[in-house]
Amino acid sequence: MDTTSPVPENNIELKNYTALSRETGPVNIDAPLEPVLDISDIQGNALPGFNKPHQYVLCFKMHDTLSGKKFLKEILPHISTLEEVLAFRRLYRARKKRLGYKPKDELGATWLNISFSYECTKRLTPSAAAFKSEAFKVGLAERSSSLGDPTSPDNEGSPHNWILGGKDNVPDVFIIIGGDRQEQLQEKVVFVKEIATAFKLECIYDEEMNTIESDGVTGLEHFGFKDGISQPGVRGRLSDMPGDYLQERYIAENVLPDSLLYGYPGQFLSWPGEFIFGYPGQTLDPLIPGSISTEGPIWTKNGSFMVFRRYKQDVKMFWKYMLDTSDELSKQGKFTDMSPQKLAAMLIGRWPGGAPYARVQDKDDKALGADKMANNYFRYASDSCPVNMVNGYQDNYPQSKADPIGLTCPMSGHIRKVNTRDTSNDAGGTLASFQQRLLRRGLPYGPPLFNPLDPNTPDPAKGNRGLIFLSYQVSIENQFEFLRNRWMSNRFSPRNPGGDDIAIGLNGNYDQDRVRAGMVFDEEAQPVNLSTSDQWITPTGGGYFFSPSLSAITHVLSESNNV
Amino acid sequence: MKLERFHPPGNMTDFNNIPNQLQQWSDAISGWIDGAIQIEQGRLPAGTPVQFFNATKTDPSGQSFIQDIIWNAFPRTLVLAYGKEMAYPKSEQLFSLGDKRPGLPTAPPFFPCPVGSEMWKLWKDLLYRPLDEYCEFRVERDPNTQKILRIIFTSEPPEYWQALHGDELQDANGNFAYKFTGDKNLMLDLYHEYVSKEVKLEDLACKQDYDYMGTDKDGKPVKIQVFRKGDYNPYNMWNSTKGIMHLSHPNNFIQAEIQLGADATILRQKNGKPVVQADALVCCSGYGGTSRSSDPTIGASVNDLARLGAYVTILDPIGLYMHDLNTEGFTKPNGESIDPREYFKVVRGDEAGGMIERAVFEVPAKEGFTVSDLKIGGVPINWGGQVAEHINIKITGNAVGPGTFKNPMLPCATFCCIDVKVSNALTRVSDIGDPIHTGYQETFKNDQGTFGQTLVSDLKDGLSSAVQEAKPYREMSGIPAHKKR
Repeated sequence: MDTTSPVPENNIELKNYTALSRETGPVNIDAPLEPVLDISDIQGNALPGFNKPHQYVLCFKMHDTLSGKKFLKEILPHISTLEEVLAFRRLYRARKKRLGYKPKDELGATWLNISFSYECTKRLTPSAAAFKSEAFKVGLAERSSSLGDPTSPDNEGSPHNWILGGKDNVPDVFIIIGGDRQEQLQEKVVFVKEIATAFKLECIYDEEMNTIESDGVTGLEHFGFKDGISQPGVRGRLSDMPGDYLQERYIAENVLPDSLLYGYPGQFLSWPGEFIFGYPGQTLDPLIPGSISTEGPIWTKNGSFMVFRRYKQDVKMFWKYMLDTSDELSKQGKFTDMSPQKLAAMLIGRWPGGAPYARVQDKDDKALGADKMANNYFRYASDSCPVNMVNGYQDNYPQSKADPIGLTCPMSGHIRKVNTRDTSNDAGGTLASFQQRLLRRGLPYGPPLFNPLDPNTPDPAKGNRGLIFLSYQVSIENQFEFLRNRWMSNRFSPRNPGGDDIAIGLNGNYDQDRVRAGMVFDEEAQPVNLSTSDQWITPTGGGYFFSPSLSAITHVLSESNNV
Repeated sequence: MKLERFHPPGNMTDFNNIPNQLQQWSDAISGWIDGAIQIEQGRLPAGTPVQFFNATKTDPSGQSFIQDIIWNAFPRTLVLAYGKEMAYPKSEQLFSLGDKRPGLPTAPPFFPCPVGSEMWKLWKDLLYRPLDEYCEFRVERDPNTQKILRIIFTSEPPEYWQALHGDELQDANGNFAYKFTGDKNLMLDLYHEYVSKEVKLEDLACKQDYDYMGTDKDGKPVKIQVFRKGDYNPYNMWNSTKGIMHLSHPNNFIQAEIQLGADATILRQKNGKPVVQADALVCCSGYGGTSRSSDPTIGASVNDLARLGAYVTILDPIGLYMHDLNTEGFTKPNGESIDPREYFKVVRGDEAGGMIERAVFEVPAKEGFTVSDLKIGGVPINWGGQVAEHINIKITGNAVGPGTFKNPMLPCATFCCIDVKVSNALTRVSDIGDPIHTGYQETFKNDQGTFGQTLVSDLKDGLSSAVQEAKPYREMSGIPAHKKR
């Protein structure tokens, strides 16, 4: 691969997508009619996502319900909507396009969203008893064992030891604040804490999150991998106007059906009812909308369930395994050019820079990893090939080859465990992959560890680093939990020959000593078994929440007659 | 090296002491495979080799890749049609073979006959479990408290029991062709051991012929025989209302699995591009059940291997198997995790080999509580389906010599429809040109994207003849309607 490929910023010419863009995709006679989203009612971190480099989580106990309702009325105008977040994003991109660089000094915004636990929601309105989701009702700590979490009280990852959301410290209110500038973010945090205190809300947890950048690669998590590349594209329009889509479509209109199926190349479009209540969900045919998603109380429309998990990451231990094991594999002569990075790329499914292992196997290609037009475009069941784009973009990177058995990209690789793409899985065809998608909105906490391959590298933070995982979905059970329980920590599904998700998974199966085992193939297509009981990921807190619409907060949750 | 003979499912040993039974079983499997190959040969243009092979007759050269094809035990058809909450209780009901299928309102009964006819009344009295993922279960509850005492799972194919009964099994064309020696007393012993001491031999046999109305090659109505008087009755009361011994859903049989495997080696295209996606492929090819987890997964997995140009077959011993139960998150009343070896007892099949044919999920007597007192993720077990959805089912595919074949891709033979107001399940596979039910729309009208592999010029010549061959799909398959699903 020629690593001198044009950098993506120069390569992408967004067609007509301006700050006031009203047509972001093809108006094709074959295009399915997508619903108009209630953009002023949906919270903006669910859609389109804050996407801010600096964020803050605040969790509160609401000791007095009536005061809590007053707090909601007070905070309401500060809650950011889909419309506001998207408008800013488009303005930002338009300025970036004209300037030729990021308008960091010119533009900045600070966004806020809010979510509630089941117990809190019930106190705010009796109608919350109509929620159907068992997971939401019993809470994360009760569900923890089915997610592969440690159960022994001796283990830091057991809910007994969680710093938040364990047996006795479940928060009522979850607030996330995201901003472009840390000082503005801090001001907002102080502001929220002050009014919360005024209305008898006790802050029981707060944590700052920051994006990590290294060697020119942005958006890294602590193990050093570019995160958040494969987000689902969400169908839906912003107005009645045809083509006024939330998710931009980049494949040329005359390339059918690809232009109807994808946002960015490889980014399958999902119906919004998979993430936001009140809209059609997926069916077996991706171009036919399903029934309207609902959940218990009528006021859940335009709302979404939010999963919060605090994962501590042991970066040194992760890379020690990669170093030792890659060294061993090299000595056995099973792989040429084996390295810690290559082994990690096999187990993640992407290189640290984000390049899909299915497309490049020799070494990382940071240009590919950063190129939104190509970094999510690959298949497993069949070869991929370049498609015509609206902007004349040329995908000159190596294409992926059919790999149904996982000879190249291992079936136990993380991204292959959680998204089977065009291959079938234990739940049938691609519908299962569509219905298990999440809108991931997490960011790292704690300072990065530099030179993690050096066992003597100093760590002033003493291991206090990890990921604040956030996801939005309409079903905690069928989306977030399904991925954790049915796919990531099941050795045999979604496809075999596979194994556990060694890199990001957890194994809570009885008597397996938390060992994660998987299989990769060497260059002669012979299986090589890998396993470890190293606890690279330790859950240390979290919770299940509901993120309601602004109208639900206005008319139901903050309404004092509801108590 | 060629396989010497096919072995019984899960290497079960019941046939070992029955004269000639092991060879008879191998002959039946071999015959079903040959029949399936013959059907595929009829679909392909003249001179095009079939990629599906009989391991006792063909020893292809090249590297071999063994792939377990895994799917979930709980019926996706019920989930798509009713939602999970309603699917649990539905999954524990029995349904009449004379009625329409649950979750598939436009699909005809499995054995269509004029409603009210004598023929229909016979089917009406037979009941089956609506569990169409090659794994069925029976929930036994305390009659007073309704708490679950045990859940009995099976993946044993009905053919195994027909063979044990000494019946004559049908070939791929519906002809009675494979006669077994059988051992009725052994069969009765097994029923006594696993179901009830009250079982009598006469309870297990058909008391009359069972027929239904199909059509012949010219489309004329014709009576098709399924069971003859005195044959083993897979829907007997000890395998329906009063117990469970083996699979009962009419789609759950081993011959169907072989035919599906063979069908899936046919490459398909739409608008000149390969059909790859599992649900689109099952609709395009016309094999298997459209809304299940199993058939689209099996079909697409086999087709993936076939598109690599490999010989493909199902690994011996051919059977339908529970592979494992994942009990992560299963907890006792005191919050401790359960030991699956104590709670999920494998009683038939090969547990170590992941070929489980029968297993019982129950609480060890020493514990003093019931299955309903267990929780999964903090939620009490109220339905058998809550456990079933943690079971993996499998068959094992074997692909040999990728790159051997460059077969043409045939156009779609069938298509599917959906009406989401009625159900999210795809409710029927229609012959090309058939009318669409009111309210339904055609699915997968487009192929599923631009793929690197497209039709190449040297294959196009064979395609036009293949188009013609594919049109009379049902007739040329010769397979009886009740075996086509």
